Amino acid sequence: MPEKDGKDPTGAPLRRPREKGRGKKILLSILRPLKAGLWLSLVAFPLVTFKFEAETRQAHFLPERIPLLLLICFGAAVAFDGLGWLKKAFGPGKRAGGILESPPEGLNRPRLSWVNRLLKSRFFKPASGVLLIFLAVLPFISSPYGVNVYITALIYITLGLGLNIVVGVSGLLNLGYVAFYAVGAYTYAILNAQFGLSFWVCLPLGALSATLLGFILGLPLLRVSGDYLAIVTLGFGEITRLVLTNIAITNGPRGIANIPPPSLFGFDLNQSVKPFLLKLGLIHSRTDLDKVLIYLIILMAAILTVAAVHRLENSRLGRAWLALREDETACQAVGVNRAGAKLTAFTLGSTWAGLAGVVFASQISFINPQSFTFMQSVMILSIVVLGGMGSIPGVVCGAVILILLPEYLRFFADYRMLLFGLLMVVMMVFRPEGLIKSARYQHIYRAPKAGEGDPSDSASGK
Amino acid sequence: MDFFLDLLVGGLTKGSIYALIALGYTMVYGIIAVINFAHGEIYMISAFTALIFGSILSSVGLAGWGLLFAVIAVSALYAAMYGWTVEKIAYKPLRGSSRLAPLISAIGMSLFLQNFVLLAQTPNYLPFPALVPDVPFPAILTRHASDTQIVIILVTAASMALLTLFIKKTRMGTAMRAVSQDLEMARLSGVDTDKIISFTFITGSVLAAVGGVLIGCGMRQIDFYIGFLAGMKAFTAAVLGGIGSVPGAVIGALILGFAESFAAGYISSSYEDVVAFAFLILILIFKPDGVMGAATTHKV
Amino acid sequence: MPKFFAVLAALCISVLSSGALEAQEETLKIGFGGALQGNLATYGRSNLFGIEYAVNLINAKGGLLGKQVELVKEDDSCDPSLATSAANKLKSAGLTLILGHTCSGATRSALSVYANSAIVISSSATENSLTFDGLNPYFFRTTPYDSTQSKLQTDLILRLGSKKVAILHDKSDYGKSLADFTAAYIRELPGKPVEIVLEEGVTTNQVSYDSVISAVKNSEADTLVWGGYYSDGSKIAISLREKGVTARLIGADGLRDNQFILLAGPAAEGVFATGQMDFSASEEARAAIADHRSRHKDEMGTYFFYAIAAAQSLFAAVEKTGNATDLNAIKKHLNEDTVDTIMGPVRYDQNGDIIGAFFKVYRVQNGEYVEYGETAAPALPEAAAAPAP
Repeated sequence: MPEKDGKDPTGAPLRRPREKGRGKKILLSILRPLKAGLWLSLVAFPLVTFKFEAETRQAHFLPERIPLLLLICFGAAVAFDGLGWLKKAFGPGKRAGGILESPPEGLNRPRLSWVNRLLKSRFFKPASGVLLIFLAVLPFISSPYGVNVYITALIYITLGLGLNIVVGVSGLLNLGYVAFYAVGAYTYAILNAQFGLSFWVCLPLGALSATLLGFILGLPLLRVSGDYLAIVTLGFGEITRLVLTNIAITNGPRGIANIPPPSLFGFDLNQSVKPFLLKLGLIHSRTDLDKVLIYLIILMAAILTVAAVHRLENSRLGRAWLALREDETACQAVGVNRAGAKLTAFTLGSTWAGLAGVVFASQISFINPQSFTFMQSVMILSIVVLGGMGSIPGVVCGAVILILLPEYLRFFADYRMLLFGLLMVVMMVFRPEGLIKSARYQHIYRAPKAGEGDPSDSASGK
Repeated sequence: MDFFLDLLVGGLTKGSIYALIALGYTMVYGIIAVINFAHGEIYMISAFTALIFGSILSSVGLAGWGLLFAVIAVSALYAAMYGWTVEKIAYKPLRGSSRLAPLISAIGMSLFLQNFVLLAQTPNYLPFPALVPDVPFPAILTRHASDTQIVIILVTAASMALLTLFIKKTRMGTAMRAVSQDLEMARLSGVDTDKIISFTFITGSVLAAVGGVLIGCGMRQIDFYIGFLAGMKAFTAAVLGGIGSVPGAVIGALILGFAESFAAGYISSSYEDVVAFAFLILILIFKPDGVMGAATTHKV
Repeated sequence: MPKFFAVLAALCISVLSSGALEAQEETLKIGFGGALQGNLATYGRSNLFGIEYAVNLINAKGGLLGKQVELVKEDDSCDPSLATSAANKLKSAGLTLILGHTCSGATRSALSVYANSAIVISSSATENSLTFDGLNPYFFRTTPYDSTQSKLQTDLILRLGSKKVAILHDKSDYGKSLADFTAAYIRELPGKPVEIVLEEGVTTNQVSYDSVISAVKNSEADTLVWGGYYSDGSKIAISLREKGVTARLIGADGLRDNQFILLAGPAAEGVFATGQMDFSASEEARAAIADHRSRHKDEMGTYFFYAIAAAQSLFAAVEKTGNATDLNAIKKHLNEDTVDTIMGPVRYDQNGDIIGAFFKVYRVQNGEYVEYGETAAPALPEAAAAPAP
């Protein structure tokens, strides 16, 4: 092998040509972002440097924008190039989501991602206990604004986990998830306005009505699959919103106002309990106890959801869903009840949306169909995909990031949504599997050693 | 009868616009099985480009049909550039990853492009000039259709014809069909698949640009948000027709256009979209692969 | 679990930032909530321009209660859920005086956040129930409520001698209210001289409005009432003309925006719209306009004077009360004292609505909205001169 000692078969040293290649490589790596920057500037040029004025009906040339245009385009090109380098260095190829079953020796053992390692470590239980206490105390020490943002984040965690059952675990692309969210919210709003039912009665009823709708809508879905399923669910979502806009009981586009916050044993928290707690010095005078209660309720609901979804995933049903995601036909061939699995995934996924909807209605106290647009479905789907499909910690992470990010990007004012969109692209390009890839259970076939019994018994793990 | 014909023309106009956008969705899907969510924004951007270049070109003395076609050409060029760039940034790095990853990056791209236009241009609505010149169409046509409607329908029909010719007769078209049937196989037989994918995005964007200019002429006003609803409807049309199928997209778009138009006329425009979507769901339940979609058989 | 770390990180940031907010106040902070982004930003900015003008004015005179007034701005994009978070931010900052919000829906969800912890004066939220339901005793507004305009529209329909009316709305909170009120007024007319032949919601941002315009044509209506904003209104006006429909178009303040004329072009000619009275003639108003032009390139918009008046009446009431926290005293002054504002002498009724008739009927003539009064020439617009056969 001539390369080994740095000589080619003719005996001439390989150094010179190699250096030449390297020079060219460096030159290319400088030229590439420059070229890209030039291209981006060219693409963005007319829309940035010409502004159409409605009054004069003329496009005006704005030469003062050119330096900024060049700066941003070249900056973006260099940054994107840098990201490409980073991706090569740290991107998915080098990391696996990992498997939870230890493979037999002699096989390469894929590393678990740090999150999955963390979940298995012995510090997990005490650490999560401490954090749980911290989360419970959190609303008492944050501003009402903060509490509101946390409630929203927790609502989206619940929604994300629910949709995760449908999209992440079972692989059914649902673009109309917001319909079930709306049904939950409207169930509470209508039952409260018409019959005066309380939050605590409506919470299960909201979840139930969403479940019921999920079941009814799930039936025709059995006929379609793949992207056709996506478009049918999108249609259901839009129909639900339009019906809410057009019928009388929902008060049409005007929506339903004055939805009360939940009460605790009939007390009005801010009137009767707050002065008492204030006297004890336990809370800040600005703390809104109604919101704190909603926070605690949705925190409990989120924790419950995490536990429930975790149990579901590892159940017989959960494995059927996974099989459904991997291959519908194959899963049917091995005896999984395809229709049953599909219907349960769709129905159970809707339950959480109904639950979250009731809490949302009580948080915002005013709902109208505008709160339940297609964009909301897209947001929830983004949480699942961006966080990591099928991964519970991933979805939680995705929700926290996608809800908190725009809030903290408020600093950038007008550029907020622009950056948000860009970050979504970058995050996806950087980690196409999502932030936290779901850990996969693997069946590992262990070759029977001599003298052992039937090899089929030794398939280990689940 | 007059009312019926009015609605028929209205549906045809709507369907034509949907078809121009739907083709972009269906072609991209046919090749890389990705829902190109940013496609609606390309359409919106071409409308803005048309507005700007319309103003520039008319100030250098172009007018009439020359102006209209020059504007369509320039915005098609820019739409192609945007389409190509979007593919390179948001889709190419994700090739080979899960089906949903490109969907999310497309949604991000769509948000980005919307806000880019909002910031670079304006959040307000802008008046769009009447680029379509006065034509003495025969009275039989203008009885139920306005001049703009006739032009929209004619230009769309011409674009479809050109596209069909392009796909059926040219080398590039043949390569595109090959890639959409089997990407791996096409690569093995020497087709530069990357180039074909880029070219598909370009073709889709050009058609969207034609749609963007026409809608500007039809509605006489645009804003940064027009791409969203039109994109969603067009995507629906593409799926309805059987996603991946070019004639399917056109048929799906026309069905959707007619459904909306007749629902608005005979039922109530409040329920126009409800009827359109209910119709869509019904069709898909009885024909799960769309109107023109080939029934797929799975091998395991 | 990573959730905890993420929330922990988020908390750290929020604790730090809220700490920064606690700095000792040397200025009197007044909140502004409204649409500064999104497609209704024109309305929000129009409010803000007026408020900023009033603030500059009072600061130049030495401020309020001896302190300089500082405006704390929060965007709600006219979205109810964003309004909740904007209102929460303002409430968290301890503000008791709020000017806003822009849109009715957003205002309602913001009001439930303020929950009577602040005086709120809106200069553009017009929905009836905001003041009629009596749930928000500290809420006031300088724009007349929605049904004022519907009443005017109905009078106009009678005056023009219309027989068949089509009513369309954009399915928005604002548009549907207007349409419903007008329909109700028309149905209540004694002797039923006017027939409603079509009453529907229209999907906005469509690629074509031809079908619904065909339906209007088919209904043989001689008048079309549009409940909605100028954006879709102008598309409908153009579509009407292109389809050769002769029905006259009547809109409300959402249509009475110069943007409408700009967008609809020649199709705007002859269109009626009810809208705010023109305040721009007075000395004070001309000074305000000149000041606005010197600072901003954008149009001052529909709500400029309402916003100035809102701020002026609030400042006067706070000055008389002597502090910014005694909400009941401020409310009493707002209700009882007549204050000279840019809109003229102003006070509020017990509901919180401004007292005075500030709405008029306008009509587009030669590319401009002109007041359409009793004295104006009774000639119908050219398009409607020959009613449909």
